[in-house]
Amino acid sequence: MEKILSTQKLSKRYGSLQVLKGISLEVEEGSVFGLLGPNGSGKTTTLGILLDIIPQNSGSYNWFGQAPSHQLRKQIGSLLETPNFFGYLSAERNLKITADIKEVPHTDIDRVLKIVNLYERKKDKFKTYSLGMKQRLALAAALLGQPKVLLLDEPTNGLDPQGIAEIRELILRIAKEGTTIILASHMLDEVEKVCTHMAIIKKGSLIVQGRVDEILGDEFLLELKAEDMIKLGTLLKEYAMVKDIKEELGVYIVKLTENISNAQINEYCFKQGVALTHLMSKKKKLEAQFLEITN
Amino acid sequence: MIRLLKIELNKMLYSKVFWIIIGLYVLLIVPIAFQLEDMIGGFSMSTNTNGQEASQPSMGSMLVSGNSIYKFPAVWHYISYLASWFKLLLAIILIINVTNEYSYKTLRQNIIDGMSKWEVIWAKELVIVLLSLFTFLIVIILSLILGINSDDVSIFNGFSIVFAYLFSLLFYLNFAYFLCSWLKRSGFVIGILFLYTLVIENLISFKLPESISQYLPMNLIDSMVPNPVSRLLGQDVVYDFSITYIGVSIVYIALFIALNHWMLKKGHAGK
Repeated sequence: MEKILSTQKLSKRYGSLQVLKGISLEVEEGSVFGLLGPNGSGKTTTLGILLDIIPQNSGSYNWFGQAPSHQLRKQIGSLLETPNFFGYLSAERNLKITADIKEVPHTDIDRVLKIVNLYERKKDKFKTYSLGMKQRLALAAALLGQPKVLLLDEPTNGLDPQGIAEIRELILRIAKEGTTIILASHMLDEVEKVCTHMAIIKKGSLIVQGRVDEILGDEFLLELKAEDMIKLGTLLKEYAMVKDIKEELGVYIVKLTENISNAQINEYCFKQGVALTHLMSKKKKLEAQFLEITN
Repeated sequence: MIRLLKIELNKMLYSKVFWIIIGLYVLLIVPIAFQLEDMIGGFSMSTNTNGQEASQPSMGSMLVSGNSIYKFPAVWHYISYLASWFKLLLAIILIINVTNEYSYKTLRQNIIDGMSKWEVIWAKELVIVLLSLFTFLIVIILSLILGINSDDVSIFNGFSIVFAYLFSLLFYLNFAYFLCSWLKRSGFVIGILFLYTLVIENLISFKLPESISQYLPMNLIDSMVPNPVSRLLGQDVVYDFSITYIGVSIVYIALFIALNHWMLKKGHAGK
């Protein structure tokens, strides 16, 4: 598959603060790539470098396998942080400016305005728009000229639940048409719902990168309790499929290498002379996993 | 080029502030141009009636004796000089236009959307050229109307001062553009422009020999379109179109453009 984007050891320093510590990413064509990280982890700085508004201190990047240039940026639809438009101009006129910059015919303006449901209000000044409408207009601008890749930074920031759902649905629809999407977010839930691939960054370092289902693969967890907790502990340690044991609030939380039924483990314990008073399997919550990865 | 012009016209022509300041500019400059002779005359008359012993003929009496300012070549000079007085209004249009790009973060967005950093600069240079050509035309039209009763002198006699005026304005607006790229906030820029024009440059001039201080930005502008009142006294009637001054102003403009590009490259747009 063709690489839409690859970066090699991007680093950025603000004074003595190292905000990016050598980020290397690979984004394949047709993927929905999530760049996940808590606030302040360096997501926006990374995107700023990729769009040539922040100069990196070292490292390099390629779009579509070519050295970056403003001509290539015309083929990238971007929404970075806040919607940036002239308040005194109408939505339509703002998009005319964007279309002229991207060298896209003005006839495309109505199409993108319809996609984001702003066609009826295209003559209204940008400053009269609500936050959600501003965000949708920024998305419309990003869609002008049907770019090969969409780069979205926290696209659902500040939106109400309905707005969030709409934007997510829109992203999925665009992705289905074959557009590559790079989505920066601090919400694991969002990345999990929308993305096929992801990278997690924390404090400017890349923690992990790969397919979403591989990184967030379900882990098999069991909660166990017995009268004789000490004996149960030694028993579990001997059990072949147990990867890890933790004691929490008088309960053992056991990580298993594969999914085995509750009956199997119950039978094993009982045969060794321990009667369980509590047995529960649970799927690890994604948030907890995210925290674990980033901590 | 056409693309950059379309982009800038969309930004400029639909701004209310732009039309208000342009309107103000025209409403100030046109009536004053028509009253200019009376104003200069009236001013000299009033000093005369204060009972001062005039050792040489007063300005007023020179005007009365048929030495009208509304004649070629003098009218070119007077109107250029008058227009030069109101150049701050044009600078304010430019300053608002450029600093808007920072406050709306559209500069950053335009680069993201695919403008190169040079294109960002050439687009604003187009605005500077447009504003300069606009006032260049106003000066030409006003002078042609006012100078219609000239004697048999050729119309284009002394026209070179209007070119000097055009260059002085290109230079002045580039100076303002540089301040915008550097300071980013309109209030700041206008404040510094005032402070520089009225105080800072005078202080620097004081410390430097005149051979150098004459090339400081505001002194240079003053020299390109000098005060025409010496014409009234019959001195130095032929204005000297100085290639040196034009040359120096072009060097300045190149320097400002290079600095603007350097700041953009350093990531000034990103913050």
